[in-house]
Amino acid sequence: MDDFLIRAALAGIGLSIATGPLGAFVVWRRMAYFGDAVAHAAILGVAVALAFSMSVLIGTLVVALGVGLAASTLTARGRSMDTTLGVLAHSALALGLVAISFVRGVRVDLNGFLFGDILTVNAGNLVMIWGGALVVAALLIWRWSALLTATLNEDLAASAGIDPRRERLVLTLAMALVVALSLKIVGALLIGAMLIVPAAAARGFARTPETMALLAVGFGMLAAVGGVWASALADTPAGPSIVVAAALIYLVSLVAGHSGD
Amino acid sequence: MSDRGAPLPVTVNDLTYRVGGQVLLDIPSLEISQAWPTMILGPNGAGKSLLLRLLHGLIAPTSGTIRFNGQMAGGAVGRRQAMVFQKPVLLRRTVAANVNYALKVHDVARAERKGRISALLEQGGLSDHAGQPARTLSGGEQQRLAIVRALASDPDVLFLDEPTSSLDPSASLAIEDLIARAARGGAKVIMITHDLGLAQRLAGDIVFLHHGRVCEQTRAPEFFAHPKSHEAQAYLASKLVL
Ligand SMILES: Nc1ncnc2c1ncn2[C@@H]1O[C@H](COP(=O)(O)OP(=O)(O)OP(=O)(O)O)[C@@H](O)[C@H]1O
Ligand SMILES: [Mg+2]
Repeated sequence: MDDFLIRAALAGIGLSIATGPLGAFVVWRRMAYFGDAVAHAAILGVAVALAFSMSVLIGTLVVALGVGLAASTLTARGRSMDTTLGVLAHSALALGLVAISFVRGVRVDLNGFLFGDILTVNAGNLVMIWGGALVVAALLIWRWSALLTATLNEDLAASAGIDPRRERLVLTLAMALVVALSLKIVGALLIGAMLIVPAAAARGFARTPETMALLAVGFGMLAAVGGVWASALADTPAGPSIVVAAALIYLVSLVAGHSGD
Repeated sequence: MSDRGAPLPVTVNDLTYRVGGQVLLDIPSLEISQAWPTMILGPNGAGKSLLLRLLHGLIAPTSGTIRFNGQMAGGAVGRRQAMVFQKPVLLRRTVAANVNYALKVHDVARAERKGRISALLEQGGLSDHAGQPARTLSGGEQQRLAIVRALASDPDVLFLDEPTSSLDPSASLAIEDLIARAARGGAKVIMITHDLGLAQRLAGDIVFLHHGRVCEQTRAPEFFAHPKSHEAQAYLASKLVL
């Protein structure tokens, strides 16, 4: 197999370490749209990074975090979640696309940011992706009990001395990190899919929260390897192929898994 | 359990809770003693759940103070308390794992947990269900598990918000027994209920709420025999008719 294919598969595998457990929380808390809002904001982050000649990683991280915080503040104030996030997601994306067109002198490959460019991942990117994914996973493992309780019921969490707002913040931070990391792999438009689809598939097989998170990691890895392999074979775009592979796993889970609850 | 120092009385001063200009709760002064279980009664919408959440520190008052033996509600005080909700909230794991989880959240050492889990399950009459997924328990068993899980942290104060409202009479009795034993074990019980029989059997005193105000606070036998306020009289009368 070619080196670049191996690197691509390794990148997807590394990312799954973070998207698995985080995706489980996205599914449990029904925050799919929240993930989209943060991911779409990444495009605005790219524009900001280019305009101020910072690293794209830092730019996307900062903007994703900002939009994440804005979204969680607005929805905590009792505004309709769906509508607020819809407005935020699409305006961040549109604003990003407009802003990029203003950045002079750089010919930007927008496709790369929208759909990912996993086949161009280099050794440096790999280190960053694995490092970042391990940090996110460590963060989630460290806060696991508190996150789980706050997800189950915020009153129950507060009663046990856990501040649900702080746990929401932890998830927002993890989300921003994952978005910044995965921009190069699946792109801004498909990050949400990488979070939700493997976790949704895992739900069909898991009996406890922990097994669901672990299975989501496994399914994510499987989808990454399968997607890269299929894209090499059929010459299809790699990022979308990974998501298609994940969707196939989800379909299998619908047939083979239990109905869940 | 006597070594934990007196967490009570609860003293409430000038307490108000408002949402958008509307006064939902207004309690100039209230004192709840350690001596006996306290039941909060009152019609729907009186503000009972709000008061309980304020006492436990889940929400902050608009103005006024709530102190447990001088210390402010919530924070460190709140961590020495536990609350049971109307609908049991259980993790998607086994019965034993649910209790283990509560012990873990309260930093009980792993070595100690095993013994505590079986003691607690025994207490809740759930020993035979230890390995069963919690969400497959019956409603009554689920609520018993929720109470046992709340007791896992050995709380100073146990708050309960209508813990028996969705249960049949015999399941309610099992819950009542569990609460009575927790009270005898030294936990202060502060509970909301619409079940007057249960209130009569368990309560030391009654706090009667109506429209966000405390109409009266009376020892239980007296309350049921001769309620002082018109609101309580009307409430009891309507309950007897129903
Ligand atoms: N966040 C809020 N915003 C506006 N109104 C509220 C809020 N929380 C509670 N209320 C109102 O405050 C009143 C008291 O509510 P509470 O839940 O304490 O009643 P309750 O005495 O527990 O009634 P029930 O017996 O039906 O449980 C109700 O009229 C309720 O609609
Ligand atoms: Mg209530």
